[in-house]
Amino acid sequence: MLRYVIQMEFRTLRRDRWAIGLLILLGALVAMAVIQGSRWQREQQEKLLTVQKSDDSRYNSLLQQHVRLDQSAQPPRVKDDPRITMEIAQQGRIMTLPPLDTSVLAIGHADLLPQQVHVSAVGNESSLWNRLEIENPMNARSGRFDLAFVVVFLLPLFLLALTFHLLPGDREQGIIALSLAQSARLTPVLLTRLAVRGFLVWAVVAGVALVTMSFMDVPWLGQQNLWRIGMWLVLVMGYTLFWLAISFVANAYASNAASSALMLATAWLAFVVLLPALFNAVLVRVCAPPSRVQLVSAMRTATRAATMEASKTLAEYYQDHPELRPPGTASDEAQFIASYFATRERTEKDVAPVLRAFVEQVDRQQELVARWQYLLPPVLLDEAFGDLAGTGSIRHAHFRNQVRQSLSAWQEWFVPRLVQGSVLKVTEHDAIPKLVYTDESKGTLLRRVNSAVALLAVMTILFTGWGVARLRRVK
Amino acid sequence: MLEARKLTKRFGDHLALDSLSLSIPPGEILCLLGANGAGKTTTINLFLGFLQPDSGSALVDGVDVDEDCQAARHRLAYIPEQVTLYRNLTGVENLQYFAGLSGRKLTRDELHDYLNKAGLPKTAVDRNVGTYSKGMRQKVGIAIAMAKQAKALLLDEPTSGLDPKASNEFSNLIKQVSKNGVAVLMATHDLFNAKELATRIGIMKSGKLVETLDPEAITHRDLERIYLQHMHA
Amino acid sequence: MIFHIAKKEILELVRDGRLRWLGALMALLLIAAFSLGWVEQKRVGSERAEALLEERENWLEQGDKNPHGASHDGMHVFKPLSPLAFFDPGVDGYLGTSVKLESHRQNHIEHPPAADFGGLQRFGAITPAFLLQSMAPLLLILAAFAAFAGEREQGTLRQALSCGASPMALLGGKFLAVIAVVGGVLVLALLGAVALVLMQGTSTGGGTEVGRLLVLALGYALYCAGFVALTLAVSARVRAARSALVIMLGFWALTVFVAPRLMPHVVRSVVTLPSLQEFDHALRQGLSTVPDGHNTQDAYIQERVHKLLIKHNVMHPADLPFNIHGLIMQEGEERSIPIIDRHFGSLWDRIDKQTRVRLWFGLLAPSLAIESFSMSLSGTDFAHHRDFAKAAEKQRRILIQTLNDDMMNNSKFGDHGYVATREVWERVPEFQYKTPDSGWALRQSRLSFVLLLIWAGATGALAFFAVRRLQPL
Repeated sequence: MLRYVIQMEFRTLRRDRWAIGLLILLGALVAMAVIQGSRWQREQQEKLLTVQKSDDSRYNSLLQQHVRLDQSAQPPRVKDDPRITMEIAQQGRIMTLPPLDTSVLAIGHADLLPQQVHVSAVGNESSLWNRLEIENPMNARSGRFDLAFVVVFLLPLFLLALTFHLLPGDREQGIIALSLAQSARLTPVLLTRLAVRGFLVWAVVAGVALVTMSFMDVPWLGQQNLWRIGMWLVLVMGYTLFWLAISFVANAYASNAASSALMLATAWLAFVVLLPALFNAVLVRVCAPPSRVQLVSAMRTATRAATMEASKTLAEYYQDHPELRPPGTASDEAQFIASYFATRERTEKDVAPVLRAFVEQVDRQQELVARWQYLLPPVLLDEAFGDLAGTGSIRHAHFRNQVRQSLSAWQEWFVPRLVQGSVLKVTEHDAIPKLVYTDESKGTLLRRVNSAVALLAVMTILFTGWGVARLRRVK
Repeated sequence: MLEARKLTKRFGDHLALDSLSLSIPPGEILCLLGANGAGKTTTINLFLGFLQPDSGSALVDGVDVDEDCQAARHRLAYIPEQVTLYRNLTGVENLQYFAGLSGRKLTRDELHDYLNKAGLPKTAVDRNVGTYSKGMRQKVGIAIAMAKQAKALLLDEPTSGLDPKASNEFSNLIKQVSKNGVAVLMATHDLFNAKELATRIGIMKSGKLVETLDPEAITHRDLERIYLQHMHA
Repeated sequence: MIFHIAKKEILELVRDGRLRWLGALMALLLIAAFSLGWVEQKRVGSERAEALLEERENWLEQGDKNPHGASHDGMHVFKPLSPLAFFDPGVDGYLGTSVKLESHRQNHIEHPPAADFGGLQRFGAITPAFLLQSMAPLLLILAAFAAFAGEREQGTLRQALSCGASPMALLGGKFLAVIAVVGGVLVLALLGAVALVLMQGTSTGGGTEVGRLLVLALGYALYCAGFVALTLAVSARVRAARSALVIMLGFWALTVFVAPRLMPHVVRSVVTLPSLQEFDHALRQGLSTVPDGHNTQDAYIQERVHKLLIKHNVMHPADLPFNIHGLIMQEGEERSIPIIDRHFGSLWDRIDKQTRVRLWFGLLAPSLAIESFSMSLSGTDFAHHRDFAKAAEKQRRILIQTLNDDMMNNSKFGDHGYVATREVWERVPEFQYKTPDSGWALRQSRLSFVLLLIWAGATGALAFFAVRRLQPL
């Protein structure tokens, strides 16, 4: 019997100009999002590549100069001499978070957060994240029109527009009584019809996205990308089913099409707009990180204290690091450098509690998001898309972590040499810690994505069950 | 009072009204009989200005509807097959609203009086219209028509779906209204009712008035025979 | 007649259970938004005020120091929160909050709160402005979509017209009723905002804020009126109430959610912005063309010294009546100013140009006009930020000049051990920034106001023509 229903549904859809128009519009939006996304991705890749290249060439010429100078046996100059450890330590290197091919799936927050940072032995970690990329703040606020937006925000609207009237519309026209008189069962018929429409929507999104990606030369078939694209398709399918289940409930309850449309619009508003916004608002208030303003203030106050007691600060520093104490009287320069790092260390020690509170709150926030997002499928989905696209907040946090580690590795390597005023040897370059970002493992990432899939599945089942129970009671 | 002059209306290829002419003086009740699609409702809609004629004109008290439909509507009252009212408002509120639209400010007593005259049970007047039966809604419709004190009354199958008793009450009310010098045009399928109520009966077919009868001069059986002859011709 | 119709419409709207629920929800959300915004406003406001005080303290108590050293250590200033930020935080979150003022360069304003909040922020935040911009239209659409189409379906439209009601009177009555009912919620919002502003006291200039709020209310009224008019127009034209609802919901989603997201792509194709690296690199390059006063071997400085020696008729810089280092430092600053102004000016102009392009699309999507209008009058748009940045830069120039003057007048040539004392630090005036007045904000938002007028006018005309040809059947 369901075969007839499916046949009938396709026939109806073929003749429904409104439905066909909606599907075409959806396809166009998906194509537009993919085009914008891949353009952005290419731009980003080029930008980072240029930065990386110029940094590499700068460093290489420095290295060559170093080799030349070493052979010439000239005494080191005050400035612009690679043999001076400070020169290398200060110039530092660029560390980048490379965009993935799949970032076409979601631009996410990658347009805001710095994707490249300057790591040096004299820089401090918190100053690296003081700023956003240069962007029109209006654009920054609204975010991009990317595939994630089309799926998370718009796909449900299209699904709802295509399904809100299925049962109530029939009810209004009296077709229900007719088909019930033919001893058709309501639930399987409705579910089949919903499934047909849902499948069409999913197929349009998936098909148009993949075709447009191929068209834009996104190598989605590549080995590194295929599993990500595959998981994306699964997630989109899960999200489609989730909204179909909600539409099913509304269809079961509504007495007429207008009230079904109203229910679904309200559901969309609640799930996609209000709950995340409310959650966001609560999150900001409940565990607001001690603001950066406080951090800046604390830092300033601590620095002042450290510099005002400069000699005491330095003495303490030497006490903590006896190996760095110069054998005789230090030169002015060495004294200055030692004093600089001494001040810095003391300041860091003083600010540590504020900084710790800050980090703890951010962690707490992340933890809360991680826990509560299970009530908010759109948020969970958005995060999962970010994961697959490599533009998610977790990957960026991972990047920050590695930057932090690299920074301390550099400091560990450089500071003793700087304070002792040692001259850098050519052979030592290889020993300078490398700044390379490594992604987290596929397994960890998949675990998160899978939990999103699982949540969508559970929610779909729950809503479907609710709808079935309701329809049992309806005549 | 109500006059149609060579009124013609097309819907695409379909000729709904074919050069119809008729005239109803004050105090007369003309009942139009005819199958579905004969043009009865179209005639009424043209008098109301809900449709624009392709040629010819409809006049209400000498006012051409197409030229000034507001003025024409001010002289008309109308009761459709289904009197539709605002479900969330009570009978009184509905009457007050519609009377207000026609420019009549009625006191509370007058409102109740009209509903009373129309035969709406006292217990119902302050209930939401959503709870009314069809007969009760028709009565509110009559009250609205009466309150307007119009010179002409248009009725579009007002008794269909009413039980015989309600239908009879309705007819009596229309008779009373007409006695006050109101011209009444009623479209109906109910031969019996037409014979009882009308001062003149017109039979319509394919947009034309094919026969006009004096109900006093014929029996029920004659009317039925003549009607069916036309329908099968 | 219009009032007679409006009265009945209001009665119907008020008795509609669904609308009552939605209205209550909206009111609840507004209350939540106001209270959340208020708490945040107080927290952030006092935090920044305290930071400013603490920084002043740090500045004054920095001890005896070489004035140029002090100019390198610099001074931080913090951007005060606009008194109306609780109503519409605008783009504040994406702009910096503090900036270090130091010699030789203008720094970017750093620490945007957005850098610290993760993935959720683009789902929006519950603020009064967000609710009024996105939820209020929805409420209006729900209240008005059935106005004509629903009555036509039910047949009451025939009934009403047959009673002699003119279509225009129906339009007027329905418009008035929807505005009156939903407007009630909006007036509530306005009163709430006024109350909160007055509670902030006069320290933030409560008077002008009430003025800003009144203008804001006018803008929101135009925005909402346009939605009512458009919904009525659609309702009058389409056959079924269901179609009117779906069409208006589609329009709502497009203008409120899709249009803002499309804009970044559109404006970037018209005006591009440099990346952070590019900008900083170009600025550094520009500044490197002027001597900063540190390198005394610089040819320009040598020549300058030579001229001064001739002018004052002395042989050696030490014989000059002032410390030439101070003068050279100050001259270096002054020569860097046009370069700084050019780079930052062109960046900001580009951002402004982008913002204007975005705003013009407000002709198609009224949400773009109201968002700009709202944040401009709330003092949380980029123009206000730019004003602050200019004020901070002005402060920086005063600071550096004061320090260089001290070095020039009070220290001896070649005396590297010279230190200035608290008395010099006190000469630097306290940084006090005031949000510009409402007249300034109004001038900034002229275009968005005109766009709102066009929106309300165009939809009004649309409703007029749609209803003039109203089909009762």
